[in-house]
Amino acid sequence: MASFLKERKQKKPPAGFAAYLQEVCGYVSWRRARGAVKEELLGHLEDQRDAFLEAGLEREEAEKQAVEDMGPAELAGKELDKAYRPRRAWTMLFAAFLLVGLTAAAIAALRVMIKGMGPDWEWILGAYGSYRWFETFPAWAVGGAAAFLLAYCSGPRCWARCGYALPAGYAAVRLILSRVIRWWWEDPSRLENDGYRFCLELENVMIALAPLMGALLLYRLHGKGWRGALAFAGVCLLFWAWIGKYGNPAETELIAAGLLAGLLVWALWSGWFGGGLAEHRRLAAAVTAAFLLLCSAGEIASGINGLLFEFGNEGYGAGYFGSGELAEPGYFQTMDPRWIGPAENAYGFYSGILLLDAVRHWGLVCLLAVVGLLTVFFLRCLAEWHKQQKWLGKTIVAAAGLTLFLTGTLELGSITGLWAPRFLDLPFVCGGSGFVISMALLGAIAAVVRDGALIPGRRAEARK
Amino acid sequence: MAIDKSLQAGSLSMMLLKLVAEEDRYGYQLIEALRERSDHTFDLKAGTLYPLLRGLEEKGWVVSYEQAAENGRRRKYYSITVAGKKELDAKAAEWKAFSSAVERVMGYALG
Repeated sequence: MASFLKERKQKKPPAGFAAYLQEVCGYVSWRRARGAVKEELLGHLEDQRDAFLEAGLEREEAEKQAVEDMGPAELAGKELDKAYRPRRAWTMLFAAFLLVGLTAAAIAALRVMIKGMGPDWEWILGAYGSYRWFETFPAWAVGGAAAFLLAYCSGPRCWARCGYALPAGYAAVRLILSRVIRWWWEDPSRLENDGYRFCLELENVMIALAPLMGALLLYRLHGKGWRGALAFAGVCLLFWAWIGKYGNPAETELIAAGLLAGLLVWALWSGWFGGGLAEHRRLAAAVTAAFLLLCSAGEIASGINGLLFEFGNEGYGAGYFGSGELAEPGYFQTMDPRWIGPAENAYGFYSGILLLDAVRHWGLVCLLAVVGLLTVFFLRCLAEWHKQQKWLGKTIVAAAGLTLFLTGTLELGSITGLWAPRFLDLPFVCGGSGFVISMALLGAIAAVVRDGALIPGRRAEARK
Repeated sequence: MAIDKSLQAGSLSMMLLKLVAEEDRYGYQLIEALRERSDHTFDLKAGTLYPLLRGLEEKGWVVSYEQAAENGRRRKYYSITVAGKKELDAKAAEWKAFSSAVERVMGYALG
């Protein structure tokens, strides 16, 4: 077990080596690259020293000779400074931040519009999270900025080092949170408090981080053969079994589970686990995909059945996505205001209609801008996924990008009335906590773009 | 024999790609292999090698990974990519055409 989880220990270099490395790294302006440069040059110095020791030199002389053999530190440092430059995801970030600004402006405009519609409509301002969200926008903006900076400044090298600790910590928090929410559910009298609502919201947004945590765990399980593949699948299955039995299974868990299953199948197909699995990786990937499809067939069928039933009614129903639960009678949401029922029955869907109405007033320009920006963002993500050479970089972009893709397009569907929303969802916004998590995922993608080749790689044995 | 640096510069990338294409190597191994194969004609310094390798990685011709070497220490190995193999073939064909042309000129001049 200990060798399975083995981590590398760093040794302190000799004084002569340390002085040379410090001088070279002093010329490298990108601080983040200095660690990687130091590591590689130190390895070179050690190998050179060992060669001199074998040739019969004394240790001190061998170390001195090894440093001299490297050439002038200034020359090496300046060349390395030119070679190591960070990349910036300007297009992606510009599209994302403009989208957030546009949607914040849309909510502000809606508030002004609703206030002008008279006291019968003003109850909506208090009833819907999205409108309350705007009142607390400064706090969420700070939270979102902090989440972005935390993800961006930590970076993939740091996450790779915490490849076991981060997913383990994440799983522990989720399991406890889920159990606490279930405890609250068991006695309805416990539900009417802010603590419950906060935990529910926190759990919903933490689900979005599941694919990213899965990517980190897969990175650590590289080359572990069939044991690594089974360990990953086993951890995921135990986790969801616990949540299903003792916790609070949310419908968005399905999306996260689907993405994780997809990552596992991709890891198997690309030969990531190597070892004894290398020869049979395609068979293993096909069997895994078939097994997962079989397990989820019931849920998919239920979801399709629910949607078909709702479409058979007048207009769209305000149902749940994917779980197959049916809307309660009288809860209708359509593109035509004549279908709106009495105000006291209008839970959840008025907001979508009102925004659509506002869009009609502003013209299609606003909606096209949202669609255009989302498209630019996702195409940039796809291009980055293709450009990334390291497996960890590819999986982080895939995990974070797919999560944002699914939430962004689902939320866009809510605005246009294509889906049946329970509350107003907006791309990259979706309430305050959704905004924070979207910013964290955006920061993760931007960090991968910046670091590029600095991301630690692993050898894929099946390629050889 | 010392070779003019401008003559070396154009062909160093090609030689490094060739060495990496034969088998995955780390920096020190590349310098040693180059020195040995060229009979000490190409004596590359680390300050020249690693920026070159970084450039090859940025272009997508090689990819790096960390692994334990024969001496038990972890080293950053470089492996050629599919794009790198194509580039190597193109550069090798270019070099062959160039060196043949130079040989022909020098041969006629000396003859």
